[in-house]
Order: sequence, then structure tokens, then C-alpha cells
Amino acid sequence: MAEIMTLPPRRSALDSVWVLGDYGIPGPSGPGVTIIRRLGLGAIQLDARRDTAAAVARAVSDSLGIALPAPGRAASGGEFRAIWIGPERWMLLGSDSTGLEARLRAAVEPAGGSVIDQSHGRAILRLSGPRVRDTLAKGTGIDLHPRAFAENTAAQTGLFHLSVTIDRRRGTGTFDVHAMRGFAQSLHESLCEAAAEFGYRLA
Amino acid sequence: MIRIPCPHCGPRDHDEFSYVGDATKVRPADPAATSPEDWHRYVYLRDNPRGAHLEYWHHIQGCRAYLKVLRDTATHEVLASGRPEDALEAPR
Repeated sequence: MAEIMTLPPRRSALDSVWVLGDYGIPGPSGPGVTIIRRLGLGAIQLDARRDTAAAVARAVSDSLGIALPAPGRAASGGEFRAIWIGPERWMLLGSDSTGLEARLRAAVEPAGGSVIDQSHGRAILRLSGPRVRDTLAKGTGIDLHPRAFAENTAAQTGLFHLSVTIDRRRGTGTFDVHAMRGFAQSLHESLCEAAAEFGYRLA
Repeated sequence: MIRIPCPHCGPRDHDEFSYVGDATKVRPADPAATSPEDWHRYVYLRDNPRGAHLEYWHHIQGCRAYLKVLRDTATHEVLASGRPEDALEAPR
């Protein structure tokens, strides 16, 4: 019997619309927003229960070297990033080459955690540039000013009526936006429309 | 615009939530011993109060948690919020 592949190779939901280049009306110093796709990134959901959360957090810290963040926060550790996405629930991100899913499963299942691979179900964009906040502010009610939404703050919220995770990365102007794969083209279109007046680059 | 203070995420626009239902109804403790009339009252009959009302909401676009919210049905003011098991009281 032929060997059964677990899943087909991942392809970006934006392949057909991602045409590299500069669009819209750029400011004097170039495009206000630069958008890249974070390809080859695994997204693994981790669920604990109220009575196992502490043991699961210890298991993750011991095996992957990352401290699970508090509500509304994200954290980097080693080659991984963890985002709080709900009570006793986190999303862990790592390059496909790190074998994150298998390592996480081996670590947390004995401690009472559950692991679900969401990599095929997510589209993750990275937005940077001087007008990112103005662009995102057109579609969400979250206050993205550094005073309210500092580095390593993350929120699950609505963006252009879609459910997304917004994760503020290093610096003051870099955000990762995670959307469900089926809505990736809708999000892409809304972001491009919103960023057109500032100029944007698909890179 | 209503903002609902999610006990997990902080204050958020009510667009992120969906209304679930009346939180004052208590499921009959012993289903087998409950009369059809009591089931009918539990499943179908709802008061329509003017003023403070206990409700379940679902933070569907946020942390996906179910919440309990004390909301004034006349002014839409959100008086208190918490986890579903919390007993909520209006601030004095």
C-alpha cells in the first residue's frame, strides 16, 4: 500500500493576487505601508484547562524555552512566538523547519494540554511602515497607539469585519495580522484599499 | 455605540460580541422530574424588563469566551460584566 501523506504542501491563499510592486499614492519618503506574507510559518493552537494551565505552561517553558504570555500579550522565546488568544488558550508560531507541532504535542499532552495544527487554516501578513496604524485604524476599534498597544501586545478583534489576531512586533510600526485562510483575499483587498492613500508596497 | 468590558480582553466594541440570551433562566435541576409546563417556562418564556437585565454574550470575534453582562435595556448602559459563573451586581 502506498504511503499516505498527512497533508498536501501548503500554498498561500494570496498567490493569485500577490503581484509585487508599489501601489497607491506614496508619500515623500516612499510607501507608507509595506506588506509581506509570512510564508512557511506553522501556527499551532494550544489549549489547556483551568486546572492544567500551570502544568502546561511549565511544560512549554521547559521544552521550548518560551513563557506563555498573559491575557492580551504575546512573547518571543528562542525560535518561537506565543500569542494569548483566549482563556487558557495560545497560538504558537514557528518556522515549519522547527517541527513545532510534534515538539509541542510531546511536551504538553502529558500535562493535560491539547494541540491543534492551524497552519493550513491561517494567512499571516506582516505590515510595517510609518502609516500602518492609520491603515489598520480604518478597520478596527482597537486603540493601536503605543501608549495603549505597546510592543508584544496582541488582540483578537475585528478588522474590516473579519476576525483577526493583531500582534505588535518589534519597533513601533510593525504588526502581524493573522486571518482565517478563507478570508485572506478579502482582508488583502480591504488593506490595499485602506493603504492606497498612503502608498503601499507588496513585497 | 455600546462597549462591553470583556473580563479577559478589556473594553471592546459590541460589534465583536453576539448576544446569546437571558441569563436569569436556570435549567431545571432534575430533568426527569420536571413537568412539561416547567420545561416550557424554561425554554420559551422570557420577561421583557425595562432596566437592568442579566444576559449572556459571546465574544465571538475576540477571546471566544461566553460572558455574563448586566445591561440596562432602556439606556443600553453596561452596568457590570464577568464570567458566566459570576454573580453580577450593579455598581451603586
